[in-house]
Amino acid sequence: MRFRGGVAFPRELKPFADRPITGLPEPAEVLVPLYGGPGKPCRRLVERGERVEEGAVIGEGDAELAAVHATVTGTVTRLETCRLPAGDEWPAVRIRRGESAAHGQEGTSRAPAATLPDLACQMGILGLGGAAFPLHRKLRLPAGAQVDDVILNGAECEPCLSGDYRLLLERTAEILAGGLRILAHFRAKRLWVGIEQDRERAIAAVRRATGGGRRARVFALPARYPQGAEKQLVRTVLGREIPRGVYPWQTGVSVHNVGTALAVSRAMAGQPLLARVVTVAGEAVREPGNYLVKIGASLAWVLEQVGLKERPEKLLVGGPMMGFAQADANVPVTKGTTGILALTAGEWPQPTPCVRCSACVEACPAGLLPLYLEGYTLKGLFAQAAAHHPGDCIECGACSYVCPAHRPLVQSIRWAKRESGRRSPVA
Amino acid sequence: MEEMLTATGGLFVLGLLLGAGLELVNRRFPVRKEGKVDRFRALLPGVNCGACGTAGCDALAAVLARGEAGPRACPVGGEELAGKLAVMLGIAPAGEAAAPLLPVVRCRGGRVASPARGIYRGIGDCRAAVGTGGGGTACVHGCLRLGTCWEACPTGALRGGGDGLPVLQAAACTGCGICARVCPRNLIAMHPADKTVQVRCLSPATGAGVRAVCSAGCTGCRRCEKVCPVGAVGMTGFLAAIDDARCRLCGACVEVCPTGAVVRAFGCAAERERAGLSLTNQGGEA
Repeated sequence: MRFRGGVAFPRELKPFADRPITGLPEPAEVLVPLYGGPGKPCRRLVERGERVEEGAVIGEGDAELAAVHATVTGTVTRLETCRLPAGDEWPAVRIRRGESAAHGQEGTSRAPAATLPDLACQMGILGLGGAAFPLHRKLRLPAGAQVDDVILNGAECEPCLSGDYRLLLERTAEILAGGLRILAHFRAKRLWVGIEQDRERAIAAVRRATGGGRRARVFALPARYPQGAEKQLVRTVLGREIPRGVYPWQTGVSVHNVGTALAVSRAMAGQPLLARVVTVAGEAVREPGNYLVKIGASLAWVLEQVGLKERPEKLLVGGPMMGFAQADANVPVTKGTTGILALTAGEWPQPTPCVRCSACVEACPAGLLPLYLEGYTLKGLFAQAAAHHPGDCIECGACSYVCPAHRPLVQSIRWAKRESGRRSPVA
Repeated sequence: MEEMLTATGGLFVLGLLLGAGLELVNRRFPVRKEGKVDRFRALLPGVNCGACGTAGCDALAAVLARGEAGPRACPVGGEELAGKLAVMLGIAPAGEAAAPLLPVVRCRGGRVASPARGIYRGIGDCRAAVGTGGGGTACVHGCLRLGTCWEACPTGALRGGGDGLPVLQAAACTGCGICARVCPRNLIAMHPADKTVQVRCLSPATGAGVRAVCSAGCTGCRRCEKVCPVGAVGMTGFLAAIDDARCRLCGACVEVCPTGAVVRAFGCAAERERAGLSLTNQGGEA
């Protein structure tokens, strides 16, 4: 069943999909944020000057947070505060690459985790679709909860990105192994792999690997943005509407990015999550494509490796619809960095008055009325805006994309979200 | 003639009887008025101008009695009334006039001290920019310089300065606190006007972290703490904090602060009585 609203992008916005994933060399220096999940930072386990091995745990938290690992072997040169791509400040550890101290086998001998959530937590697995939510928290369900369907999300979260597609083509078996491990953990009945219709080769590859599909089956999704959003994906695959305030597991389904399934598969082989696939694209990039990048490498370093044709005018982390504009290229690649877009000078159209064409209403996959949310918010009428449920907005940007008047719809709704939490009666 | 007298006398007697009856009923069944509302009503000017936003003085008295308005709710009464209302509201001790509150903008990172790190093309309101990584400004704790506070100021006491920071004209400020409420980074605090020595930075970042983004922030050097003769300056991590109860306003900390994060402010607040409440009196760069 198709989800409501959304935007169909032309196929030209899904380029670079025919190039294999390229591994970038080890960066000379990484800045690893102590990020193990939303809320608070991980506790730092290393001191300045300390030597660390690749894969050593440098930060851990309580049950809520996943572990953070050193992504290169070297020396901790600085403990600092960095900006994450979304703009928050976060403590981080700077490691300069160096010779391995103990030149033998890896010295990290941890007790192997007994359960999948413990393993995910130990190996630092966060959801790789972009939200970077700790996997082990999605895997731990309250007693009595039952998940019947596990969906592997192979629908690219945004246009211009093609990392999920390449992973499905190149790491098919490992992704399915990881998916089946998640399936086994939930004792679920069905494993779905959702892939957009126009990614025919990935669909064929996964079909081949599942051998006709006993427990795993491919679901060809309509190529429509935001198909990769959790609720929209569940609706398309299972025809199930997830109401406001209800978690997917409460309706018996659990959704994971294909990259996350791959990370699970690697973790089963004892490898922590140290790198991720990042789509590097944009007019300013000389060799756009998908690259395997160490967590903590700076955007500037990645762009230098990939090569720039010219100085980018705008740098986005994420995709063109939801990506965060960066003021500083020294921001590190995090586990949530799905793409880096280096854009050249373009038109920045000025907003004109809303003509009430309701294109935004048609486009909204969450069933909201963006024009009213925006109008009330910009007038400072936050109570009225709150009555239009800004909290349901998934910030996909479809409304802003289709708006003929170039209204700042998404930003207004984000503002409305913040305000609905902090209003008090006027004295 | 006689008929006329009968009629007049009859009406007179009737009036007396009815009057006595009314008085009797009034004594027997008095209408109890809400005493609190009356006491507030008695203090208010009684001109029913509506400047406070309610229908008139009676309405404002009712709002005050419910505790839903502050001592400065009436813009007509001025400081004198505010002091009395504060006593009545239980905010200030009786007999002592409450020091007026003025907004303190706890950031001095203007365009020069803390240059922009990017170009912000979004909605021109701090409350919208704060959700997008802080707009173009470099410090995640500092002023976003988009003017939400001075646009919200009902009296024009807060205005945009040349460096992008709000500037206070204390004499025009009614202390309503709207600016403090709209600031998404809570940089504005309502502060007693007689406490003129203040720390104008809220960044908890380390010295190096502050210096990387701003030349006017508190780096946590502790010079102010060491020089204070009465021990009124304490440190919260890397941020100086002045205990107003102990501060003698000697200004020694202001002298030693290397970045100018500790300042003597509301320059006019202490002098504005002498200066005759002139609007052009811009002593304090707030």
